[in-house]
Formats: sequence, structure tokens, C-alpha cells
Amino acid sequence: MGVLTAARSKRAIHDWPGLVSVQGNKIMDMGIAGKKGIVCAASKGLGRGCAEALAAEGVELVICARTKEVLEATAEDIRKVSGAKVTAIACDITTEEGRAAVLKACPEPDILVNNAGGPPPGDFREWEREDWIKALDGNMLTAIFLIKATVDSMIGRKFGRIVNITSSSVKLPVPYLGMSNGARAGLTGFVAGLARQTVKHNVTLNGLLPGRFETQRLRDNMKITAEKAGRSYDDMYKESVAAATAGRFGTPEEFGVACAYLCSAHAGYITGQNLLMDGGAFESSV
Amino acid sequence: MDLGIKGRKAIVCAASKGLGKACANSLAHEGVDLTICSRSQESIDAAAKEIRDATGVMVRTVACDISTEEGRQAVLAACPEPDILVNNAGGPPHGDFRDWDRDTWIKALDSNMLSAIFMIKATVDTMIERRFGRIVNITSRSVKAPILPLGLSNGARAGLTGFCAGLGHQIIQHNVTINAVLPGSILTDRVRDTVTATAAKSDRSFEELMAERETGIPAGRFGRAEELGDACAYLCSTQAGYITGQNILLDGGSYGGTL
Repeated sequence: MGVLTAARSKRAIHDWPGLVSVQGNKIMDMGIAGKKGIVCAASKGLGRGCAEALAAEGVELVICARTKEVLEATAEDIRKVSGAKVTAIACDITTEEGRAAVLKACPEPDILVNNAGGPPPGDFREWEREDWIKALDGNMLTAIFLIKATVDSMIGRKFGRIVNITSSSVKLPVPYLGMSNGARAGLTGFVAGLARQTVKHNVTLNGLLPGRFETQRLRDNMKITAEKAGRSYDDMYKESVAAATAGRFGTPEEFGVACAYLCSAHAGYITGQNLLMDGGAFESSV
Repeated sequence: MDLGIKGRKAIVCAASKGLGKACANSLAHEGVDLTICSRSQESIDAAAKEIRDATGVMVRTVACDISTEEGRQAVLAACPEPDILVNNAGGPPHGDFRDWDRDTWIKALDSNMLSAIFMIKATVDTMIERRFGRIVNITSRSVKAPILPLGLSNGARAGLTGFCAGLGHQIIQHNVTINAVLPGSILTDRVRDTVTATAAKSDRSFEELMAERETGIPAGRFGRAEELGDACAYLCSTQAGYITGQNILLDGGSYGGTL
């Protein structure tokens, strides 16, 4: 992972000069140094990007993921780069026990970044009630219960920033990801109401909607697609990049900066919003 | 206009009164044969008689809870291959999300999201085979603008909407559409009962309270259930085959957004 991160940062700096590496270079003071944050599913990919960006702003973190080794390596990387205090809790956040373990390590966060791997793709004709409940537990109810457990202490301290990492599918459904379309839209619908009830206490809730990002998950999925099609991974990668509206995929670093901004002291008047970060892929006027 | 659906078969859920009954009635006036359900045998039979007497269409009734697997099986046994499916169910209770545990959420998701999904799953493939299908979900204006005390409804109905948005794209090529009608303030028995109860507890009259409520609606009045029924019938018409994945508000202009 260390090598990967270095490679990503190098690309970010050299290929696209407009981008700013969050590692060591602040773009503005977000006003959240010393705050406490929970970032779920943060060992790699977008969750890690969010954790890195918050740590760079001086946020003390509790991060979680299922695989202990990877999670602890990530925690160590972030500590080294940012100097922030990072506590790693290996658990499955979609279970009641997992959530209890994370909340024990950080019972009163100022910042909560909800994130979880998505449900599997497939044909809805094959999904039974148990499949749906699992998807709803993972991508809707887990976030709701973490919010339930933390929002009142945020209200008590008159500061709270909750960011749900959902998906561009909330705005534009992905046909073969029906359970994701459903569960993440469900979370978004619920949060829309709650956001209006907490904003007077300076507690905001927003969604951050990733399109295609340069993550391990994207590479793994593309490898599978390439193998199935009997084509080379490199060709398929180049083709996908060329077809992308932005001419590239997003980086977890820039995703993290967007998350840190929504968690910043300056973003207290933004709530119930769903920020699409997809390099212009979704062609909608509003 | 002739909607071109005479002789088609439809399932309308939760149709003994209110919005479900209005949809059943509008479809019946277009000559659609119906299978309707609700939890009470007595009230669903009464609704069926009323519809039959007015329109002459065939109406089957099933007394069941459509939010359960057994309930859905009973309705599908009465009408295994509908051309039209109108999903409807009473909404979950209002309240504070701090009081809702996982069981409360699952119950809401079962009745206002998964029940519709499983009815669609059981019927969409025969619609595809016959190259005609119209699915209408009666959801709520909360899908466009959340209703603050109704978090369970905001969540569950948005979840159904998100899923159907994707499925809609996959089946439109077979002339099978999925849309939703989103009721705002519609004058149903439920509204009348609520206002009557409020009036009884205060020193104000039913008429006074109704007038006050109507002032808050840009249309200056409540919607009629029949208007929602007719919107549903239009979405089920032959002419509406190019409309899919849409969410149509019937709220008398209450929603303030541009889109």
C-alpha cells in the first residue's frame, strides 16, 4: 500500500498540475485541527483518501476496516505523514459489534465519515429478501445507526460534520447494481430529512457521490472484465480512460480533499446536499 | 381519450380506500379487470362491489397483508400475469429516529420498499414476454422533499425509487415501464380523520381547520383521490410507453423546487 500511495501521489503531482497533494500541502486551513473523526472502511481506496485528508488537517482519527494487517499499515502510513493520532479498529462496521467497537474507541466524534463496500452486482430476479436485507444493513442502516449513536453529542457541542460516501448511482442508477441503487438512495432519502433537523446546531449531513476512481477495486473489477472479454488489462484501462469525460479517473486524494472540505469549519451552511464527484460523467444540467 | 387498456389485467394493492381505491376505480373505468387487496375482507369486498356496480369490470378480491410473503403469494395466485401493477401500502409511523431500532427499520423497508420490489420481480418477466407492462408505485412527495417526522418513509420510499430508476432503464425496450406518482396533500379519509380528531381536541371547527390547511397549499385546496387515480391510469395507458423512471408529483404546487 505504501508503494501504491506513493505512485498515486506522484501521478497526481506530475500529470495534473492543478491537483494538490494533501500529503503535507494544505490548500486552506479547514479549521478542524484537534477535532475527532471516525472514518469507516478506511484501509484503502476512497475511505483511506478521506482519512489522509482529515489527518493532514490535524484531525485525530479512529479508522476501521475488516483486514487488520492492511488497516494497521494504513494507520502507520497516515501517522508518519501527518503526525496525527490514528487508532485502528479491525472490525466489520456493518455489524452491531463492529459499530460498538468503533464507538468505544471514539464515543464522541466531531466528524463521521460513513463508508462501506457496495453490495454485489447482478440480476434482481436472483435476489431474495436476505440479499436485500444484507445490502440494506451494509449500505443504509449501518450509517443510520452510527449517526444515531453520535449526532446528539455533536449537537451538544454545537459542531458536527457527517459525510456519507454513497455513489454516483444515487443520481444516475447503474443498471446491474440494483441493490446499491436502492440501499444508497434509501440512506440519501433518510438523511435529507434529518439534515434539516440538525443544521441549527451546526451539525451537517451531506453525501459525497463518487464516479470512477483510481482504486484497487476499480483495477480488480477491470481485471475481471478484461479476463472475461479475453482482452488485455492495459488496453481496457487505456480505453476506459480515453472514454471518460474527464480523460482520466479520479484520485482518492482529491476525493479526500472534497470530504475534508465538507467536514471543515467553513461548510456549516451546506447540508442535505449530494456532491457528485465523477469528472463530469453524469450529463445533467442541475 | 381512450387509454387503450380495455381488457387488460391489473393488480392494485391496498385498494379498499383512499389512493389505492381511486387507482383501481380509474383503471376500471378504462375497462381493466382487477385484482385488488387489502387487509380487511369486508372493506375490500365493499370496494369491489362499488367498482363493479359503477363500471361492470371483473374485480377479484384478496384479503391479505401485501407486506408479507404469504400475502403476495395469495394476490399472485389470483392474478399471476398482470399487465398492470399498482404498488401501494400504508406508510410507516412518524417519530424520532432516535427511537427506531433495526426491527423498526426492517418493517418499514419490508412494507414500503421490498414488498413492491418482490411484486415487480414476480410479474415483470411475463410483462416482458407479452411486450406490454405498466408498473406504478404510489410513493410520496417525501421522495422529492423529505417530510421531517417521517424519516422511515423518507428512507424506504427513496430506496424503492432508487432501485426502480435502474430497473426502468433495463425493461423499457420491451414496452414495460416503471413510474411513480407522489401524492402531496390529498383529501383522503385519513386526512379527514386527522382533522376531525384535531378539531375535537380544540375549540375550533373542522371547516376552520381545513380552510387553514388549504391556505398553505398553492392550489388553495386539497387534491382529490380521483385526480391521483386518473394520473395513475394515464401512466398505465398505451400512450405512456415512452415514459419510464419518472416521479410525478401530485401536490398542488407545494414542492418549491425548479426540478
